[in-house]
Amino acid sequence: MSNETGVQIKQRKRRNKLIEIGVIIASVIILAVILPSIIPAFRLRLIGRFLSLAIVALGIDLIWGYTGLLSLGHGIFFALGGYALAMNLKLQTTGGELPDFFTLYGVKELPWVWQPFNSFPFTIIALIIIPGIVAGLIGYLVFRNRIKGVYFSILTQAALLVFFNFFNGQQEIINGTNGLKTDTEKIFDIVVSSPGVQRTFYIITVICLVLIYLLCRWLTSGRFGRILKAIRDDETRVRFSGYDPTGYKVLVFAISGAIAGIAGALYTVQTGIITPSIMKVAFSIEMVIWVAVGGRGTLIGAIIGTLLVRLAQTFLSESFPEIWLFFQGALFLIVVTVLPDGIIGWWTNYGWFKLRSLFGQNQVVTYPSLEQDPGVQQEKDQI
Amino acid sequence: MSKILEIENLTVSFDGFKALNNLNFSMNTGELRVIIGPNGAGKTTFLDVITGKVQPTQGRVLFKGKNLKKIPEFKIARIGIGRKFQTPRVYLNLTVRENLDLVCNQNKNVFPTLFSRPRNSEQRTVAGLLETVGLYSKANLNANLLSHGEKQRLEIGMLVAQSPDLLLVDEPAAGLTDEETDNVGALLLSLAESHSIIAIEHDMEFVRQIANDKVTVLHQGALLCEGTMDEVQNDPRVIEVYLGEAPSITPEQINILRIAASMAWADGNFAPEELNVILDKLSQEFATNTEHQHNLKQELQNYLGKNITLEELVPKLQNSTEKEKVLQLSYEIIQFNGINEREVKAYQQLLQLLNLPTETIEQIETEIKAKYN
Amino acid sequence: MSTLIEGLFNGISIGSVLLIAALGLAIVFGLMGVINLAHGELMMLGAYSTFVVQNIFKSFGDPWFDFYIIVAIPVAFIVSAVVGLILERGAIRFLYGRPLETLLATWGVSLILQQFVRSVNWLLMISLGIFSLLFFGGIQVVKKRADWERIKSKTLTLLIFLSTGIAIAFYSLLSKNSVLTKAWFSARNVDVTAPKWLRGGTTALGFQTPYVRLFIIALTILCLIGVYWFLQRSTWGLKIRAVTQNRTMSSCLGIPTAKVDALTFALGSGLAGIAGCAVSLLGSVGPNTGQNYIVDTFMVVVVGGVGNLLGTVLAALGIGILNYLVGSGTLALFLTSFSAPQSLIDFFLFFATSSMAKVMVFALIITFLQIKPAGLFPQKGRTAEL
Repeated sequence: MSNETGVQIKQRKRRNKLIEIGVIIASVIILAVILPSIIPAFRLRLIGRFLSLAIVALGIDLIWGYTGLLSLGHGIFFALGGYALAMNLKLQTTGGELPDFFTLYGVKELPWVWQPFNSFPFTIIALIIIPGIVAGLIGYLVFRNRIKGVYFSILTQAALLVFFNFFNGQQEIINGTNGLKTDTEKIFDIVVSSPGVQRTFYIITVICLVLIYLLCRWLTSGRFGRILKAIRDDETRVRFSGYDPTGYKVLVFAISGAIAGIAGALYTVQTGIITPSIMKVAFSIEMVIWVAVGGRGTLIGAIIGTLLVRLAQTFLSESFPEIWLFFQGALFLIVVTVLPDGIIGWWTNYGWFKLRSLFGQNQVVTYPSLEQDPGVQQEKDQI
Repeated sequence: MSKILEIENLTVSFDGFKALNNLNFSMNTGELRVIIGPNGAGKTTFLDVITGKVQPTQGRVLFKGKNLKKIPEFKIARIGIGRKFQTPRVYLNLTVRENLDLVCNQNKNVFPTLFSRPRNSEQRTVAGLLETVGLYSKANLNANLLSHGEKQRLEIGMLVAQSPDLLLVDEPAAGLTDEETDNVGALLLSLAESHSIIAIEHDMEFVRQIANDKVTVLHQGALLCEGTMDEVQNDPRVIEVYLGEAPSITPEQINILRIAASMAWADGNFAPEELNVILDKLSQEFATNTEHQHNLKQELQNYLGKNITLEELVPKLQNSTEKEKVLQLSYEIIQFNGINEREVKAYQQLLQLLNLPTETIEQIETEIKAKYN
Repeated sequence: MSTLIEGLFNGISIGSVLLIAALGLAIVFGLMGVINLAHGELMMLGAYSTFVVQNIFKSFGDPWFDFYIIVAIPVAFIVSAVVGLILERGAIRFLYGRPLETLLATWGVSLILQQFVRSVNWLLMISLGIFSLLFFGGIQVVKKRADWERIKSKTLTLLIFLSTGIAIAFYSLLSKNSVLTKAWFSARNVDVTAPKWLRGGTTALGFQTPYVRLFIIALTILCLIGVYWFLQRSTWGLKIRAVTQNRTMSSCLGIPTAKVDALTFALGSGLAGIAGCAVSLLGSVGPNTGQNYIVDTFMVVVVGGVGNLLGTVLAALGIGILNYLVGSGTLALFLTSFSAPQSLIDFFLFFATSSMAKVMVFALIITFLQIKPAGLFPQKGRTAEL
């Protein structure tokens, strides 16, 4: 294991890369080609929603799993992305005129925040950039003062509550509690809830998931990723090595926010409505548990965790609505106490060996220094 | 010689408690300065101020003539001050190579780090450093699998990778075995050839190993004294700070004691009988009354010093009376349990250094021989 | 002017609710570094205990009913403290030094407690009893074996599954019985009626001051004095402070750190119970009551700084007053009377609802943290940050 030469390591890395590419292509084919043709449309829509949640989980993993910042406020960025797209769809339907809910509050003129969302390309950029900027700003104000750890978590949670209050209270601007419906709106003159559009959104979700996975992959490997890990493990030391952690944290938090924005937009159109309740405190903490279940610090874990937990939720809350909260609470407790590295972590640290030993391939694991000792190697060969 | 670091009237107070109190300090480029001082002397706060972790309440720190006030830590690190912490702080979840590579990075801004690939020159530096700190075979292991001593060395390697002009090393020998301590000491000495170094240390053996230049003693946040290792060790104030009471004998007397001790050490074995002779003789000599003599015998043991070369000690003798006294004592010690080759060598060296007239030497030798036969 | 004084009083009264809610949180966070997201649910339990005590006293008849609150406060304290103790022993003690994990675990607990209050009934309680009996009894039995350490993890897993299975089987077997499965509280909110002597108010200060508000302020002050006395003057308080300063050293000196942790956590939880009792007097309480307080109380702790009661007091009052003055529009009204520029008045009018006031207060908190990142009274020195 550890006593391989540089060449062997390179070979192993290349082999792993090939396997990874193969797995990605296979899952894209399954998700984007096979699944749509075998399961009913409403189920597909459900899976589309799960996949968009998996995207936001990737963003959470990026900041929590790799950088050690636990954000409890990702609902903000998720909602910002969703609202941006929903506003555009409203305007597309009315052809730039005042959407009808405004008349309820006696608003005569389209508020200035709505104006730019007439343009579809602007909306697409905005649903990425705006959450990114908001995240970057919040991050900058917090990280600049070296507020970290639980303080950061609490502040993001408070920020979430503030945004929730704001969206809830501003009926004249964004319809308050009622939110914005997207199902009945039109995109390029086709109703959003029509099967064709929904299928397109589904495929886009799969593509986005893969692209964002690759983005996170790129960010977390190489020097940048190592610095993120270093910040997570010992921020003070990073500072004395000549790096400014603030910049790195702000950037990675902004990226994570932007990812959440994309996820929010995709989630909204596949749900049919966006309301401020998407910014409930509970939902944002739930995002964290998806990552924790899958295994933080592994990107694939974030995706798997999201899918598993959401599937369990759908199943349990359909059949035993009462039990779901108990189950979810227990999940938080169990993951934190018994399974801190999540499913993937358990598998790589423990499950894999267990499985191999079942098939008789027992491998004795000792201290790495022993593995390297030439004397020990010799003895091993003799045995 | 240009000054690499100057500290003027530095005061740091935490809620009224002065961790550093009106401290003045300066060191030359290329110097290896050791800072010692009892617990709570302000040694670590001293490093904290230089690296920007703590802001001075008063006074200023100049690095190559540049005031470091209000400059954040990472910028101070970039302009050439590297710091090693007391307990080894390496990135446990990265491999040894990655640890070094991270620090080696030439441009540490966010976007260059994100978009650029490690340069060849940097990779070569990393490979060289792995060799220097002796971790080449473990380059691809996670740092959390290293032993304490290996982590210490890795962190020193990381410090060097930063290519700083001034290295601040906080207790590099803490928790190491004797062999590892020697390794780290040798590493520091080789680094001192191309860097300026401030080392904080408790272990006096280790200080003696690395202190080629000046040693600074801090006490209660202020500078107590400064000088070569010997000057510092003989300084009554230093002894008082370390042992809790001022010595009741003069530095000259301590010097005589130490020469005698080195003679006793010459054969590599400090016999208890030899110690007794020294202590008896000198306590009789220095004491003012019998009670004092008794106490002095205890006290003198603290001042013996070990492994100090005669070249250092002898030139400090003030006059011929002292020299004669030294000779008398030394001869008596080596006479005590039979002379061997090494003792003879040391004795010859002593004679040479003392440079006394031949008749005086002969006279003293005869006296003592007569006494023992 | 009198509107301003009235506003200040109302602000202080909101602040005192915040303070009594944040007090336990500040102790647990300041002394143990534990973020307890279930704190709100412990408050909720305190409120429900008050409700239960009230109902019991109602059955005693009139002269007794007026004094139920005097019994309800210690009952609420004890109920929450016991639940807190179970929480600490059962989960949190495994997570010391991992604050983010603790945060998630306590969130899980808060979800469970919420659902528990909604669906608690006799059958659930009996099943829980069966589970504890089987599980802990089983452990006690197996513990006597000599090879306990070796078989520990396997036995525990087996016992958990076995006792859960039996308990669930028991539950589903009897779930047809409507008497046993009648929910105690159901998901609806419940109302606590204040005793007669707390109804109404006085106009002694020139404006209407409800007795309930005054009672809460007095209760808060009492709790504050009690906590101060306990931490500064009692032996256990001394031990708690010692453990906070240096856990390892305290442990070496023979202070039972595990007991101290449990005690501290129970104390913090108990205070949450008292806070819940106070909150129940202000309006109806439901399973979600706790959620409404959690973020605000955390803001109090963040602004106040860690491990300093005075900071907590000032922060709670400051946030309370600000919230009320902005949210009720008093500030805008006040500015109008001073003929301030219209734009400024409009600005404050924009924030003059209770939810928008929170937006502004948060913005101010963030601004405040730019100047004092570690709160009002930060800890200083070499050990403060590593």
